[in-house]
Amino acid sequence: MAFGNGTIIAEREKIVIPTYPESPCEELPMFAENRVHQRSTGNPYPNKVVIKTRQKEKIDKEYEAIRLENEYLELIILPEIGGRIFSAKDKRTGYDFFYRQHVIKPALIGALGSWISGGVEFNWPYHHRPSTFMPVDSEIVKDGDGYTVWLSEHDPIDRMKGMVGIHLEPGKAYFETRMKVSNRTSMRHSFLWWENTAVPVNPEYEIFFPPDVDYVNFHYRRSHTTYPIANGMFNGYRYPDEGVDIRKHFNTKFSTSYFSADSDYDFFGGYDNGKKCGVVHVSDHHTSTGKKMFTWAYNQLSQSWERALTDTDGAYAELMAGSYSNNQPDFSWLEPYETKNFSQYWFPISEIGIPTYANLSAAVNVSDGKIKLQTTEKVKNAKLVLEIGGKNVISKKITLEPGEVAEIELPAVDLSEYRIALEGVFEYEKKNRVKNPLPPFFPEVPMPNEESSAYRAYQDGIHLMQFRDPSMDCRKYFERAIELDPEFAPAYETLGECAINDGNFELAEELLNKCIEVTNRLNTEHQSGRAYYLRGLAKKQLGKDHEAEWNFRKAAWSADSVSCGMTEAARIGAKKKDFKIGLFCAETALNYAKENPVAGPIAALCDYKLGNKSAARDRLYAILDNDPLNHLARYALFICGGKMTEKDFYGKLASDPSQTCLDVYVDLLSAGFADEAYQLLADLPVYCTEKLAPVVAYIIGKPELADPMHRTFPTRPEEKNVLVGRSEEYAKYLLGCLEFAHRRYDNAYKLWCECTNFEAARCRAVYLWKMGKIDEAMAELDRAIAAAPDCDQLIYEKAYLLNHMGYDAKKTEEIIGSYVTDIKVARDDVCTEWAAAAIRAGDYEKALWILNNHEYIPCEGGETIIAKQHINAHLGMGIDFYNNGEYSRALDELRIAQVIPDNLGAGLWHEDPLVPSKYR
Amino acid sequence: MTLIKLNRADDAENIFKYIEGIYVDFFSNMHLPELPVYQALAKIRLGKGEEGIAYCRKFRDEWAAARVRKDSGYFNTTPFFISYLDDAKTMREAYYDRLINFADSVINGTTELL
Repeated sequence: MAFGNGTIIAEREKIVIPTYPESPCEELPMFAENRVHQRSTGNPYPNKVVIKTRQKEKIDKEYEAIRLENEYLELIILPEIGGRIFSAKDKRTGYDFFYRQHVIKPALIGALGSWISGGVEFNWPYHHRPSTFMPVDSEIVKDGDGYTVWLSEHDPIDRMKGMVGIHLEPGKAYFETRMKVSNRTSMRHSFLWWENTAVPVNPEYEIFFPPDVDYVNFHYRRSHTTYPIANGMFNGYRYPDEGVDIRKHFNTKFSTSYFSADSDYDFFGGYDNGKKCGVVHVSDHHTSTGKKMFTWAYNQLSQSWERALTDTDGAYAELMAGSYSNNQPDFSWLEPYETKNFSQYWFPISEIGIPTYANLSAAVNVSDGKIKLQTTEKVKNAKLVLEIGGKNVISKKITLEPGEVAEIELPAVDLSEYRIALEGVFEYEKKNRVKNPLPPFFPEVPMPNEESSAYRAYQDGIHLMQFRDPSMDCRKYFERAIELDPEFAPAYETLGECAINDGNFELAEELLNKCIEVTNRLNTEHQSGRAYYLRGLAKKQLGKDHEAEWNFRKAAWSADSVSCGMTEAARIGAKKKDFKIGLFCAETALNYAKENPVAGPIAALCDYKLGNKSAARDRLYAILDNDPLNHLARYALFICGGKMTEKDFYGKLASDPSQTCLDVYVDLLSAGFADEAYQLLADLPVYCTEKLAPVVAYIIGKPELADPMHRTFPTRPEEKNVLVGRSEEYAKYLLGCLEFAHRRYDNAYKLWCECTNFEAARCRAVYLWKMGKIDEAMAELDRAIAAAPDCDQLIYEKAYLLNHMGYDAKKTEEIIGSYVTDIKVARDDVCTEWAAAAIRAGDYEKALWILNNHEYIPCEGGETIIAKQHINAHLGMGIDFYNNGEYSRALDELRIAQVIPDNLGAGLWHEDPLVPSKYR
Repeated sequence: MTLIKLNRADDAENIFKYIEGIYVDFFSNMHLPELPVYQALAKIRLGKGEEGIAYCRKFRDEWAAARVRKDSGYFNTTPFFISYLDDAKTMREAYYDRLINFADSVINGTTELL
């Protein structure tokens, strides 16, 4: 198709991509309270997880893609796989400026299991987005002269709404990602946003950070080194004394991440010196502070992962751009009903080389006696000036088409300080400056009993909460703060907040009463309305609507709590059928936060009930103009008789329709629209073919439709209300899961004891183990295995526990072996535990037989565990030979220990696991 | 050790120097917790006996102090989906007891690795 005169393509199309199918998810709930996923909690509840890969079978699979294309760029987007950009091509050069996969090959890196590399992954609310391999909702919208492809979800952990709009305009050789992240829940949550672009790397590839970046950090800012020449220690490795230029990809020999120091510039990127093509990222450095490269580098680990993630597309690195975050972990808050809007931009470059400076309009390279520049929009007769010492060295008119490269020869001049400007396009001044020193390391958090002041204990608790720490419980820090100062009100407030999150509303009310009592000593009008707001939430859940309303309205005396307080007050007003009050409260909320994602639809519903039907619909159309995938607004439009049929409504739900509808159901129910809420769920199985979450089936009175294969477990208080008192065994089991996940362990156990299914037996084992009743736990696990002998997860859990508890090694080896009928198809983790048991038993030959006859696929965090079995087996053999005086044979074994075979899919992040074999 | 038995002391010395110089930072929980003991052993093998013992004692004391810290949730984390959670205190004590015993075996001269 010929492009020009504003032509742009934005359309859905079918594409076929060779695909290794995703394994079915594990049916058992994972209560992995201390699981870590890239330094934040990786607890998957309420989601099921994928634990296996299927890398033996490949099929051609058809995907619905969205093509977004103008004269210069061609983007292919995959709503079915997390809404990622699958490919991005610079049409002038033919260069895929992001790593272009030719296969979908999921491996176990994601928060919930499956993950693929390539293109652009939009990561939120933490690290690799939990929904990275799940469908998102999508909408193509004509937007000015261009188009925006909106990709939206309610995230599967916190139920916040994350949406990115990929925007392309004619005549521009860049694309924009427009983010609209909304906390549509009543509780605050922390979040980060990182655009994770894969770039194709080779020894010629080079990254570039802005000119004021003098150092880079590692994760958690507990290691750093100078940039661009790295010195000293970084992430466990010592650079040579002469330093290493870490801009050059080839110079990084071990898998690592470089997070750039904060910069006053808006750009960074990567460039392939061999292909003379690259990519530039531009975004406001005040909010997009994160600039990062991650690489697998060049070693066995990188080769293992390359095999696991692609067939033929080779190595990649990740150029990651963070908004509201400059590290991983590093989180910001999204308050209840808050919406944040921000943008990032990407564009390809070609022969200009490594940019000295870039903005959204251009990239320029001033080096080697030349100026090379490239613009992203047409530039006509713009004046280019290079000024040194107050004198114009270059002054000429430039005309450029987007992507065209201008090259200007420079006279022999000193380029240590200069100013360069292209009229109306960019201006950059290079100055000599003092380098920024390396900052102090991020401090360690002491244990709660080591805290010496209430405020420090409280502050550390907030840090853990905000960073979603997987190992330390923030509650203990708030408790410590109260221990140190029994009138430390902020600690009561956050403990109350935690209690609400845990579903312990009586406790929350008590704690918040104490907080308000202490704070009210002199002022009943607080600096912040948070305590009243939270107490309102607790009271609402306890059915004390009148008191809740009072607290919400009181909270709204303070500017920080108007939006959330008045949204909740609006719900109560509507629930009382006082739609005037409902409308007033919702509009007040909107006056303080115009993109409050819930208040707007509630205002419309109140308007509608007051008879202002046209105004209600107009209000909803306006909301949907701004966010076409606000599903509460969409369903409200259906209720209000607007242009929205049931088919329209349900037809857009790709991101877990059951869960999305449950979110909207809760919104409607809490505002008193019980009939409409019920109808929303009742129509779901009529219009959607996806599996139905069991709670939805119970609500609509069709328990036979409860699909145990649905990917989620119940978690909301409203789901608990549905399950309590139900007689079905499955409902009791699910309620037990909800209770356990919310730390009400005894309640869970009692419920599971009423169940006969094998899943409940296994969950009882989990409970009993936690209570230290090891023998009883193992007996329950055996009952579960007897009832479901083919359940791989049960076998793995038994194998893990036997090794973990140090059960008789020989017997452990035999027990695990008895479950493995075919080593080729057994699960990787089962084989790993089997080999570990054999090593414990001194049966090294058997361990090596296991390791050599099973083909492992790496999983994040598991690479070293598998490698260690190989190391330990050969180390054990080496020690035996040594003790027998057979030193040559011992040496052979100890050397083999240090070479990890490819079939293990393994590798080492550090070399020190090899130390025992080296020492021996 | 094996190279020494094979009369290749120079090669062995290079390995001990390598072990002595390894650095592990905070981030990776996949490293070898007992590395300092091997580094102490390497120092001793390199003829720096007092330094090696002092080094080992330093870490032993740190581990003894860490052993009695009160956890604020869990003793450690896992990258795997493990639902079976252990008592943090028990885990902490077992973890450090192993390291302390290993260090003691060097300090007391009872390990076969000397």
